[in-house]
Amino acid sequence: MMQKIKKIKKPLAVIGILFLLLFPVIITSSYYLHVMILAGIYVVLSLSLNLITGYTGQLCLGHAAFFGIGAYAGALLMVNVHMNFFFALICSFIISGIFGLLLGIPALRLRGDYLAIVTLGFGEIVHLVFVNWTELTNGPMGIRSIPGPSLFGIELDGNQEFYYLILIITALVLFLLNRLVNSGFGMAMQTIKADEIAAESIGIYPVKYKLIAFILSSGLAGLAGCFYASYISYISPTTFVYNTSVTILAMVVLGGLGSLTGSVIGGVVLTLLPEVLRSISDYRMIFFGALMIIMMIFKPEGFWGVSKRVKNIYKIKAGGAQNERDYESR
Amino acid sequence: MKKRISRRFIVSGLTAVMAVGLLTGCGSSGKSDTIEIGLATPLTGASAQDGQAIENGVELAVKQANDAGGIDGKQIEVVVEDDKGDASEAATVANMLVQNDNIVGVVGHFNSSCTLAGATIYNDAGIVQISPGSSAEAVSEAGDYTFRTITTDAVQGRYLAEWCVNDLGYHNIAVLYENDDYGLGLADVIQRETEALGATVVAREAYEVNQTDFSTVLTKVAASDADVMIIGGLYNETALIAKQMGDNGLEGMQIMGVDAIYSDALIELGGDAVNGIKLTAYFSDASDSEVTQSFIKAYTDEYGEAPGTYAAYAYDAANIILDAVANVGTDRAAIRDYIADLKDFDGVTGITSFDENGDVIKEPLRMEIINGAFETVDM
Repeated sequence: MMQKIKKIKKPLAVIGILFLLLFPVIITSSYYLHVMILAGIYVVLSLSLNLITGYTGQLCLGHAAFFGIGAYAGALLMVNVHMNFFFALICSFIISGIFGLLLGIPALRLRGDYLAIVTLGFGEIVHLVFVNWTELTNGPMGIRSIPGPSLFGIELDGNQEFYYLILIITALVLFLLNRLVNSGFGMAMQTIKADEIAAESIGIYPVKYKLIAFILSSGLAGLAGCFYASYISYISPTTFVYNTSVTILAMVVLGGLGSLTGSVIGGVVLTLLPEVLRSISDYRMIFFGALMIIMMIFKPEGFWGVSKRVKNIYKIKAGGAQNERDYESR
Repeated sequence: MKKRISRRFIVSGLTAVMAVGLLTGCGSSGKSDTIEIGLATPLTGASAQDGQAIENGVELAVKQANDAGGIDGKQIEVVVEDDKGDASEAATVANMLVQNDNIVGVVGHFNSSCTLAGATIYNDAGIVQISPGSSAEAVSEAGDYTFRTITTDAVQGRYLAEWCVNDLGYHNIAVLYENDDYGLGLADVIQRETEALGATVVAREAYEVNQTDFSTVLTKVAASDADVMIIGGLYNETALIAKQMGDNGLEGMQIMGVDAIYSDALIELGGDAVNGIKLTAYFSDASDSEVTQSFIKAYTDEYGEAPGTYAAYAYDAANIILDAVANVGTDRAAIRDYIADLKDFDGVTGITSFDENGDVIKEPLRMEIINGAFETVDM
């Protein structure tokens, strides 16, 4: 089974990359492009949440807050200071990261459910700040006419340009996170997830790793937010609510906790599925919910769970406990 | 082994569902013999009730047009998409609607945030969008292809201010508003307009939507020397405010509001307490317009309930698009030009024209609740 997959892996990857690169050329419909761009944004969001929830094992229910902080930071910089999109992208990464740090220092000393509650509260607070700090955020009216990206005077605000941009961003994020989670740093994170006390006993200081993962995670969510703001060209507080946090978490869990491939699959599937189900209109949310329940019953580890990823130099299975037999059989 | 098969079965099942969805999605372009009107409205989520009313209004307009033989012998269809009241979802359905070549115009969206998120897409595609429910000022500048049948908060606020200050002679004004885009925008307009007429806003208090105890805000109003209370909010809260006024030393104070409180629910919830409330409205069954009365009858026959304000706005929006198609055909740019120049369209929410921003110009009715019923009044 494993051998077979390995053999076709390369050509499959080439076909996949070609498909993604040529997608806007083959399919010119702005609707399909739009859905793909949204999927890209959600992939970045779920990848970033996976870093803290999947790899480091800290349940975070306020990811939409960082998404929102990045979106507002980027939008305000682009609208008020006329900052170039690409600089704004970097700034929103940094600003969200700083907020991640500020929340992380006190919050990451909590564990499990308590951390979930604190991040949940943070999400609500941020949403309320967006609504009520009218002077800065324009309150519930939101921010309009957010410019698209431009590079050396060339406007890049068509759907195709946005598509390629998010493709590049997603690829970069994926590449960086892949390097990160497979490094010693990533091993340390996963050790903390498996057992914090054991990690401490072998000299891994959990707070440091959790904090860095948290900052990186919130920074990347902010980056996605800035891209979102520029793409939709209008933002208002209604987008950055608890519901969005849960959607992102569902992508991570459904895709597979502690798996980058899983996050990509989760992000894409959960963006495409509601669109595909649009034809059954009123019933689509019921159907969507039922599918998620079925998925969790039959495949609780997600689309790309632990058993799919077995390779690392020490033959240590990352992402949590898994029985040996299952591993051998592949 | 068994388990693995079932897993694979589910995965392939999912793939099949998606493939079918994509294929059916692809098949819907190309010219055909029907004229289609897009409708983007929240059918799920917090605004679902208003969204449903909007759908009813549009469906009724289209049904009547089809019963009368359609346009140039062609039948009209409505393509309904749910935007969930969510801005990014609105962008998605907007992209979907503009892809369909048969669509001549779109009625939508309801929430201002959704209208604004969709406007970029409709304007880029060059397709007319008429919002039946977005009254925020920002929609004015949304683009050449964006229109609305609901007036801006500014127009109604200005009218209410004139009525309140000039005609009724109130000079110390308390403004109560719900703490969201709608309420805040309206409160700003009312403050600006009443102060421009020489009145003073002596109290300005926000409340939260779904709040039930208003004693804090009402005590503050009582402590100021206000002689009228203007509400920038919806009927639920207005009814509760009217009921709780007496307990907070505000007996007999005049309440005024805009058409957002025009609903039978206001009277049902408020009972005797809401008698005497003065409000502006565009759509009322007390109106003596013939078009309005026949719409109310047709709507009640079709759906078994009286139409609300948004159903009426949506009905007008759909009829304006149909009128444009009947006059200039299905060319999207021609439809836009026709609507931009539209003068004195006799709609159920009043005689309608559009200004250069695509905002509707029409004068509201003055109404008062007298003995548990809305009546049109002069003062």
